[in-house]
Amino acid sequence: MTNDKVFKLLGLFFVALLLFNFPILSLFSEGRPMGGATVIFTYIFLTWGAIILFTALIVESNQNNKPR
Amino acid sequence: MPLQGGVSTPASSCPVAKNHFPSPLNMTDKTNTKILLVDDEPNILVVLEFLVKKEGYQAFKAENGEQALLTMASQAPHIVVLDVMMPGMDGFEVARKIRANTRYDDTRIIFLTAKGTQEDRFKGYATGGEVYITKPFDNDELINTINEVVEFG
Amino acid sequence: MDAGIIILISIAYVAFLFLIAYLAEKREKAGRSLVNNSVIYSLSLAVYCTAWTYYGSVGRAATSGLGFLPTYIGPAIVAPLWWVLLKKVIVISKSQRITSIADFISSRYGKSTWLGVIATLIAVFGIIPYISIQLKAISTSFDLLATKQGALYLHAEIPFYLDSALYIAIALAVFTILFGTRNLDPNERHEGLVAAIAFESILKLMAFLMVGFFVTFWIYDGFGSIFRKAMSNPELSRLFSLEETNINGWEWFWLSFLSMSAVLLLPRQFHVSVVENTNPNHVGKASWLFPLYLLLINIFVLPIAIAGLDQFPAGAVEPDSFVLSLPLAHNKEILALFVGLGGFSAATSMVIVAVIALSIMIGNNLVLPLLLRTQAFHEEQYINLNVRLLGIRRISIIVVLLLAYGYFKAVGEQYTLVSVGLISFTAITQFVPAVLGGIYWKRATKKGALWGLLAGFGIWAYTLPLPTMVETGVLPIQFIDHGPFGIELLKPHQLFGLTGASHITQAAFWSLTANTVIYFFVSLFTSQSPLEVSQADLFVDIYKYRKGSTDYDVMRRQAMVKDIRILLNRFLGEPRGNLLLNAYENSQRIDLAQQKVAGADLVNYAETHLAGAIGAASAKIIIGSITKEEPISLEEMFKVLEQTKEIIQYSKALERKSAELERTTKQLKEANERLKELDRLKADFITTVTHELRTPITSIKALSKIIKETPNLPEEQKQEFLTIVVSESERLTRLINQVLDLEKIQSGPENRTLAPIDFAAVTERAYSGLRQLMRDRNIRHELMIEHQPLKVKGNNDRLTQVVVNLISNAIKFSKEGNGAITVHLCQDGQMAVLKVQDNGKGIQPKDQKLIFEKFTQLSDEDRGKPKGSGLGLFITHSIVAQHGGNIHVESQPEMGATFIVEIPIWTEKSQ
Repeated sequence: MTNDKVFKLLGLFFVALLLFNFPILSLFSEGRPMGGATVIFTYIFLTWGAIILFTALIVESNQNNKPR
Repeated sequence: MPLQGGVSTPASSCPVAKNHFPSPLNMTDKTNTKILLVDDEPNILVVLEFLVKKEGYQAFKAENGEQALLTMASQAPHIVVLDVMMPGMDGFEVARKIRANTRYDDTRIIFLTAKGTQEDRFKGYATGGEVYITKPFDNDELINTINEVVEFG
Repeated sequence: MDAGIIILISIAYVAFLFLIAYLAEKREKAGRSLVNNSVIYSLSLAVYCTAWTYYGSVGRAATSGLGFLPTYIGPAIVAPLWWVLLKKVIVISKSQRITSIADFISSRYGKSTWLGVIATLIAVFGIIPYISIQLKAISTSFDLLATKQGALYLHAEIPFYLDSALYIAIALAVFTILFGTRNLDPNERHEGLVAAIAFESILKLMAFLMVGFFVTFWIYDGFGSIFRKAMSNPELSRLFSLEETNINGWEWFWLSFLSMSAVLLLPRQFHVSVVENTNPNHVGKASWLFPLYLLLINIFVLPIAIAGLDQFPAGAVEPDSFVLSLPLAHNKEILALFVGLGGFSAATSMVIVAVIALSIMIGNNLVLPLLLRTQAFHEEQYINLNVRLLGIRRISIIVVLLLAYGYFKAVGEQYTLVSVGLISFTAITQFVPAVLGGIYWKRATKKGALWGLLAGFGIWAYTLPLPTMVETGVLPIQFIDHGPFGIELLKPHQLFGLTGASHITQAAFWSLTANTVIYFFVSLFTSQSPLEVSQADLFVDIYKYRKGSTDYDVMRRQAMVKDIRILLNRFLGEPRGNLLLNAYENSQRIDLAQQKVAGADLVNYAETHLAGAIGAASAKIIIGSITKEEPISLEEMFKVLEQTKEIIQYSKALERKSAELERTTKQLKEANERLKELDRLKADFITTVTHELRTPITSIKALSKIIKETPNLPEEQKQEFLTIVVSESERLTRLINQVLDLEKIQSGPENRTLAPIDFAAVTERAYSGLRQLMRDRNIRHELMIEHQPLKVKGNNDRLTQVVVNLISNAIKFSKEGNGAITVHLCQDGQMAVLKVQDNGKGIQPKDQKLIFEKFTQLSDEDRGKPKGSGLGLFITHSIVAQHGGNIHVESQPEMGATFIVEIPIWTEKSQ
């Protein structure tokens, strides 16, 4: 486990905390349709997916470096 | 100790038998010769007195060292027959005291003791005794020795 | 659908779960663990998704739109931190062999029993409402499947023995007991359970996705069509607006915060994510696979809710059961059955894991400490502890489920799944300060954690479960509306006047704020016990202690107990090492054979005892070498220490040898001195005897010769001389006899028998015999006999000799010319005491013992010429000793001497 990885994950946590909370969330609080769904629905699930993706990238990338 | 031509000195560790060899007393009159007999055993004094008087000497008796020295002072005997093992002052001590006084330079000391070891004998000579006789002695030998001392020193 | 079929299918499903569990355990035993796999691990974490998620989310979405989401967004936000947080918790827990969240908190704060009890109570009371909603979900779904209609009856209104929920609770209890308490795993790991849970996670996800697809793509034409439909209906479009569903930032934040905490700290989450973890590195994959799972299971929630609201007339169907009602309404019975099975699996997995986790806590942190404190719990019961512990677990499983049923029957029905679930979340959130502070803040103290938890739990209980009691009629409605005793500030739903927040949010805010503040400040103002300090160190700096080792399979193989045993055996020797470990086992009531990893406690224990043997610094180093787990350096350390030990032993041996030599030398010297002294004494004796022989012989010889050679000797002189000769001959005879006596006495105990004789008579006779001599010497003399007769056991001649010797001695040494002798015989206890006192020169203290030795004569300086052979007192001493008595002398120089003889009194008994 490198410190680098910890900082990246910590950063991701704060970004997620920010993106999934008010006031950012309220910016998307509209019933307007978007991509087959509403803006807020799409925003939440896309952001969610993005966070999962980045988590996976950070966690798995370093996994390869692991065997020392 | 053998003397070689009278030149060499005796080994220092050996007690010198006599540091002064006095001339014979040349006492012609035995009745004038005083002999002090010192022994803590009264029975022995009885024997000694009898033998010495029988030979014609004057005899004085002492049962211990103090008495002996007192008699020395008053009578100045020519010969002291001295027992070694006595209560209080022992014979060697008495001899040393006698020798310390130049007045008694001519007094002869005959040790008479039951202590017969070589060491005691040396000690006897070292403290200024002329003759060393061990008990039990022979009567004639004792008297002869006394006579010799009287006649030849 | 026939209820019998539903029950049959449920039973078949449960049987299948058992099969999975059985296979998983079989593979585990074969060493090919199915569960040691990050995907299975991630799936097992999905036990987070319960009937709440499965049925409740849709119900929540139907009323508050996206308001159902914070429960899943929270874990999504916190998941990136798992790699840091969760992993640390896992590594700590593995090293400390932690079995539950309550255990974790108790361990961190100095293994506090009280903290364990409080945490257990919070967990149990916090989770009971949560379990009750699972019971509700299962029974409701059964009702629905069986009748196609909603709730047939209110469970609260029927007697409990007709209530299906009770039988579900009982069935779940049996199910849980079978799953979780078949045997006792020392690490509280149940691979079969984890496999079954993972399977259930797949099933519930598939079932939910299926119903989602069915609704979205079968009933409607995809997301677009559903959302458009919703948008066209103002009543439904409301659900897409956060404002209109009363969701503000405050609510959203607190709800997501609660779920962030719950996903780690709920007893069942802690159990699957920490206790059942097989490898801390699995956390990596789980930190994105688990959020992905949550995303998938939530994606159809809103569409299903909209569909439900769209399809059913308002209020006709409970929104919590839309998931099941929609397929049923479209006559898709098989799908409905599958969906119902999914819901069943969601509920059962939660109940099983939660109840197992709670039962472990209740057993380990609540009941066992109490049992161990009671005097009745003795050694022999300890032997069967495993059986007992399983019994405790089984009973607590039943109790917890019955409590949950009771809660459900009393209040659970009145509330939606989600609102009850959030009550539990809020309770569990109380663990956050203690756990988070526990792993990052060393200064945190037990008292801080204890008071913080109590405060948070108190506020939680007051603001959330207590008001629900109003429904049951226990409390009046005024309690909620106007506060207790009319104190408005204490209204449970607007505590301290906080308005504008939901019950949950304000309860969470107040309880957590109080908890955190108290935790922080009490910690600052209290101090830690040594154990707390070391535990804090181990928790916060866990990576320092387990450097580079994140794979705890390796950690578990580290077998620190084994290392400690080796260390102790090596440095203290095997018997003592074993003795120490046994003592430790007894005092801690644990079995080290079952433990692989030793806690800080045992390490300290070992270190302390090692320090006693090899010094504190060395002990610290070698203990450090095993706690850091550097096998090579350990090896090297051993080599170095072994050498040091050898050198120390060698030098110690040398020291011992030289001391021995010294002692022997001293003894030899002493023996030599004694020999020399003896030699000297012998020489002196011979001199003395010679002298003593020569003196009489001299007189005899001289006088005999005089008599013989002097014929004219006067008769009276002749008589005098002969008397002397006779007397001296007698003296000679006496001396010879003495020497012979001595030889006789020396050659061992005489075989002459001792008979009772009168010591007084003996004394008197001996005294009389010497009276004339004393008179002759002008010695004053006195005899005092206090007891007559005074019987002693003895030999007449010998005792006479003793008395004669002592009196003769006194005569010899009494003051010359003015002598005085006192002979005094008395009885003192069991002893006849004879005292012979003279007034002579006395005897120096150093000589007082010596004079009784053979050949001793006092030196010439003191005494002048000794008048005896030197044998008199020795002979006296020997005789007295043969009579079992003793002799000693009391004297001051110049003050005379008193010889004291003690001879035992003769009695009938002494025969």
